[in-house]
Amino acid sequence: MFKKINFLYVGILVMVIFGIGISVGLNYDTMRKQVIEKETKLFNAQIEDFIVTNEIIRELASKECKLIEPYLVDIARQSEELGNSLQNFENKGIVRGEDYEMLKNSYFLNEIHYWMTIENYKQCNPEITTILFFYGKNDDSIKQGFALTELRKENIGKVFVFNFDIDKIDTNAVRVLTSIYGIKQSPSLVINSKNLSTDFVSLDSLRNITKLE
Amino acid sequence: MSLDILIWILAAIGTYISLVWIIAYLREKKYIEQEHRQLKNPLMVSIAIPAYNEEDNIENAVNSLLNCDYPKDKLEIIVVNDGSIDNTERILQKYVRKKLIKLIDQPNRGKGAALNNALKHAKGELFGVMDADTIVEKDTIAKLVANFTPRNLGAIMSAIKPFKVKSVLEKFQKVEYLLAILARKVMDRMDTNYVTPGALSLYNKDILGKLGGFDEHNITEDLEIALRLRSHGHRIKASASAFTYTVVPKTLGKLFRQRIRWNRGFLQNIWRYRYMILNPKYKTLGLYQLTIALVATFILIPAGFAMVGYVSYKTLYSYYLYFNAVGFTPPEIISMPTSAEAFLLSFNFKLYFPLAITVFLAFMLIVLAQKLTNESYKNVLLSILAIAIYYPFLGLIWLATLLFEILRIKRKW
Repeated sequence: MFKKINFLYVGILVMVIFGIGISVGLNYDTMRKQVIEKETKLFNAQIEDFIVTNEIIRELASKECKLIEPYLVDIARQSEELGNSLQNFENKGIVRGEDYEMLKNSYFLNEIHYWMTIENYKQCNPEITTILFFYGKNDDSIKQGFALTELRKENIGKVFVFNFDIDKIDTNAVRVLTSIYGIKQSPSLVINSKNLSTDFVSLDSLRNITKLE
Repeated sequence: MSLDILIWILAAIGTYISLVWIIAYLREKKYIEQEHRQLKNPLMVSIAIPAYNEEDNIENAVNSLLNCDYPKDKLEIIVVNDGSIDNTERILQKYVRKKLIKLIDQPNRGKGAALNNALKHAKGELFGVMDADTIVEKDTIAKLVANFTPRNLGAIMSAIKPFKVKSVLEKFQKVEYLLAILARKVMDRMDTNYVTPGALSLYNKDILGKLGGFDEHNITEDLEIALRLRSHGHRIKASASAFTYTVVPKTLGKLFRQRIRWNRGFLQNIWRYRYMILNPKYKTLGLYQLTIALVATFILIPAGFAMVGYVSYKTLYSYYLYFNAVGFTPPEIISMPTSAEAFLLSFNFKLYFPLAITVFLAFMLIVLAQKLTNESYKNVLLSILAIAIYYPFLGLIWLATLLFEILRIKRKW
């Protein structure tokens, strides 16, 4: 006959199996953080590289300033990948610790840095449109994110979107930015540093705005 | 409690239940796989077949019993014609004329009443109940009788397989029936069986008589009598080698109706015998088996479906938002990872780990069941599909049952 003690052994075995699962999951979390840290450093380095390259060209070959435009697209792709990784990994992590918040803040700072760089570059190519997208945890923000992604795909190298989570503002730079543009709700859009929308903007409206700009 | 934690808790409970079966099987393998005993003392057996409009099946059932390798003078076949309005009686008369069976006619009063009627006329020391849509192998009765030990055993059940399996739905049911054979055999070794399926089970007639026979107002009288036997301290054994073959529902509608009846019968009877749950007097049956049956019914299945429903709703709602924002253009459902590392890390471990463990153990149980019942391992894909499609469907029927009970929709036979 199957002895009662075996029920206890099975309980212990289940705990061991799921303990191993949690342990492997935590290792996954660590590896994910390492990947994001690596991507963040790479992104940072690309921005720095772009700034220096931009300055060199402005000083030595200002008429050829559009030569560096392909780099912008590369950085945009890098930024998008980093944003995706952050979102993707954050939702899949066993533990959502402070580390992720720090990485996110670091990402937002990089976005501001990147935005300022492009605003500066617009002297060379005024056709570029920059959009600051302040999102939150609501349906309109999700819809706005979809619309902006579509707009960006339609205008690669012309439209650049920079994302900021309004519910998790923990850096002075983002705080100042929201204060300057009077951002109080999500979704909010700042288009080319001036146009402000504090409601969902449809894809068609976005297409029109970017054409008018 | 977050959804992730709930998934892990449910998976841990499911893993525990599966592992108890697997480990019990592996530890008791010697006894489970070698149940064959020589039939030294062929006891007198009366087999009762209640029949209501069974013109399509009754001949097969009776013929299979008549062809059994069991001493003819020790086997009494009683067919109770429960007010059939088809040709059942006419078919049976030819067996009566040859004095091969005993036929009892009664106005339609249900299966329980038919069995009690047969019990009154039965001469055997063992009383068998067999469905009219079931057939037995030549050695089935002999194997059951040989394993009917000790003599004060309450009952023994046969190993039921579906008859003439053709469609995918029938094949899915076969996977389920094979798994039930394994589970019941393992539960035999744990002394936790609490069913005596109507397809074919043998009862100790004296004990059955003392307990008052079958409940005539119960939609699953076989479950009720089994719980009554257990509540009076009688053991129920299961055979994994005495095979019977039963006709299984061929359509989803018929399967749905059958399972609703079984499930409602389970709820009705588990409520009647609720005092056995968590009662140390009933040892492993009360403390473990009936408790996990309730946990599975009221927690695992509803919570599992609630989670699947929630995740499906979130996914569909996300698509709704996408189409609302972008219009009807195909969304990028899968964003391809940029490197092998990113691919590995994009794996949703906290969701797939508990899911993988659960599916793996379910698959392992199916393989063990196939091995125990001498079935081939060919249908691996079918087993996986059964886990992915058929069992969730059975879960849905459970939810429907609970709903019917909550809404107090009238029970039907």
